[in-house]
Amino acid sequence: MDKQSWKKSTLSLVLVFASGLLQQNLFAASDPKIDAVMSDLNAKAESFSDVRADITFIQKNEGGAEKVIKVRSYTMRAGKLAKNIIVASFPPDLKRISRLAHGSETGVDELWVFQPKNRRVKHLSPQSNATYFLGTEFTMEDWDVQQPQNLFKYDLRYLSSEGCGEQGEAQTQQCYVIERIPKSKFSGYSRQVMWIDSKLLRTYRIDFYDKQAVFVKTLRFDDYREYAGKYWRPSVLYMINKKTGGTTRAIWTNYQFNNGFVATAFDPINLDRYSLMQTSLKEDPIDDEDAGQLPMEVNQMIEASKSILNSLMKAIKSLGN
Amino acid sequence: MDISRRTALKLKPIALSGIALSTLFFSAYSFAGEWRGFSQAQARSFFNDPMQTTPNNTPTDNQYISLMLQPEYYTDWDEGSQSFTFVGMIRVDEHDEERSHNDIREFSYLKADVDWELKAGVSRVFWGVTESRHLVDIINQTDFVENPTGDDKLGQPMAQLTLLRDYGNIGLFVLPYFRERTFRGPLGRLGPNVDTENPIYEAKNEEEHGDWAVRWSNSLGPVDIGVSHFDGTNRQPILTFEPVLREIPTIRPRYDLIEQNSIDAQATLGSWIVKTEMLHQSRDREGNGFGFVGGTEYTFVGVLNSKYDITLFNEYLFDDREQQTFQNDLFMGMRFVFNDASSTELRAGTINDMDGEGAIASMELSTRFANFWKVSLLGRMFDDTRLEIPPIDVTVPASISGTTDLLVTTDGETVLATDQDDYVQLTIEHHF
Repeated sequence: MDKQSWKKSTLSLVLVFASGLLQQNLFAASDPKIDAVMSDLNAKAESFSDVRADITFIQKNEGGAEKVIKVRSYTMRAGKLAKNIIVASFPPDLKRISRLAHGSETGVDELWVFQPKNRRVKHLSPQSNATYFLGTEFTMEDWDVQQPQNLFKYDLRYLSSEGCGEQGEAQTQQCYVIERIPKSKFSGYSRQVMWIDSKLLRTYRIDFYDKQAVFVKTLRFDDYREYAGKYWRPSVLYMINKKTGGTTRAIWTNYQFNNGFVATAFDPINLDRYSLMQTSLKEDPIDDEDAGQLPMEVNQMIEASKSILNSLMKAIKSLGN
Repeated sequence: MDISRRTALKLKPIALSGIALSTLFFSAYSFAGEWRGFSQAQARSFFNDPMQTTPNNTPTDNQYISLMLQPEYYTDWDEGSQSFTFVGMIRVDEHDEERSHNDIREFSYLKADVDWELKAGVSRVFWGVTESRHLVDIINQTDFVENPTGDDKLGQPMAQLTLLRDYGNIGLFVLPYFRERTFRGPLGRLGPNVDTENPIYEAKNEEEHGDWAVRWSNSLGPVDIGVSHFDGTNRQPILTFEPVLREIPTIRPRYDLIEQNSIDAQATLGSWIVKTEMLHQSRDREGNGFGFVGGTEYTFVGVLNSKYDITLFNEYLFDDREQQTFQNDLFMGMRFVFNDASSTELRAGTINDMDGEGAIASMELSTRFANFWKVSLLGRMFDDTRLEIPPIDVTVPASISGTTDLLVTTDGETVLATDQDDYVQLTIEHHF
């Protein structure tokens, strides 16, 4: 070849090479694997209109006893956005306390809380997404975690592929390991790493990193079951919080899809009324293990509170001297 | 016959016929109704003897034990579009016969459709966004003897129609029967000794004067706003010495007719919540008045790398209406949530009068144990708090000023003082 054509071909070679490099840097936006995962999930997302489930949380603080909290969860989808109500049902003093969340395009969910004591619906600041939910190791924003359809709230990056599966089983499934960074500045996390299987797109594990990029929590999804012939949902979520030393086991039961929920039920003005509804399903019977551990007679209660008050008054008076 | 029995007796025929009707109506359906509620033992201990002398000059031991039961029943049918709610309460106090009272907080039927709802019966409705004082919350009467903060409300007979529209929600309230405010008895503490047997009504048909209200509410971006109008008998009584046909004048509650317009709004701006409630009240008798509460709320989530949340509240209170405690005050409050699965929580707050006339401080710690038991310990202090009674022509005899915690100030005004009522309260509840 003559000199001109050498220059041309060298230049075109360099250009091809350079564009290849550029492609590498942009793979977060155009990675075919991420695109495939996203389109698959989007297809799945549109196929059910609503879902409800009962959840039993078993919370164990470091060195502490187990505590049980029960809630009901109702979710309604409209396109890729979802609205969710959680109503507490056990222990009985939490009955009717409910939380309403409206998912938004920006990833910052709107939150409301209903306080049954004085019938008040309170609009919370988006900061509350990072609050721990009813004392468990799940924060309000972790609620989204089991909805793979909410991946649009994150920036995604493909890390690797490896074998995975449920705990205690052979790790024979093929999982994508994907890093996701929350788009919302109100998130309590700087990044998360999720393991999601390539065939049925079920999440098996998520690791959470706090704002200081310290690894703080890990969540495992177990006992996946198929509902209504096509929806795979985990029955057990197990969250380990390395920061607090606590663990929460969340047992999801009674999944029911496509119940015909109406949009007005997820309006904050209706949170009062909706928090009361049982739906046609009966709740799980209350775990009565701890019931009546303090079988005080009413008279004993009076005497006890009198003597407590007396000693308190003495202590306060002696402090004042 | 104390006020609670008087009111309860009037409600009895309504309640009984309601129960009869509902039993007939509901027996046609099989439903999964649910009983719930709690029982409570409460012990209050006051640091000082009351300023008053009690009748017969026998002081109480400054300790009050009371028991309370609040049963609730709920059921729904027709896929949740129709429901019935019952909430009742009864409290028995060892010394204070007025504090021993009962109430039907709720006894109502609700029919909900896609864009409207109808509620009929006795119920409780909450309007408002502020913490220190629920200024615009007018529908329900305050059960003042139950809780001096005014957070507990008596049930209100009502018919409420709510229309859900694109431009917001419209609530229409018909309030056919008026509930009088509850006050302590002569042997009780906290608040004045009011002669609730002899109220004064501006309305000719007294408690049967029908009141009504209308409210529009909507969310516009980060702002939640409500605008309300109320027409009828003021829930807040003016305490006055107008004498009855007796030798000894007593403090009587006067319920005037008012028109009240109010706005309540909250803006959620990132980590800050800014909120306000304001009202304008006009009366035939005394002219107009304006009330305002405004402030902020900020939550620190997971402080110091822990599970704890701390929320800080700051609010300013203003009120130029007659006989108000919070005319020009500043509230600072804190809520410390432990997030420990036992709902352990510490709340503390102070309200300080900017004119240097008084302060109230409270602190409360509450937690749950063994799943069904809730315990809370509360301390509250009053410093130089005052409330004006309209000046009267008759000299206040010593026997009256003794029984009602009155002070006559140097400029001749009659003023209520509650400084002697600092107390500590232990509450144990069993929830079911």
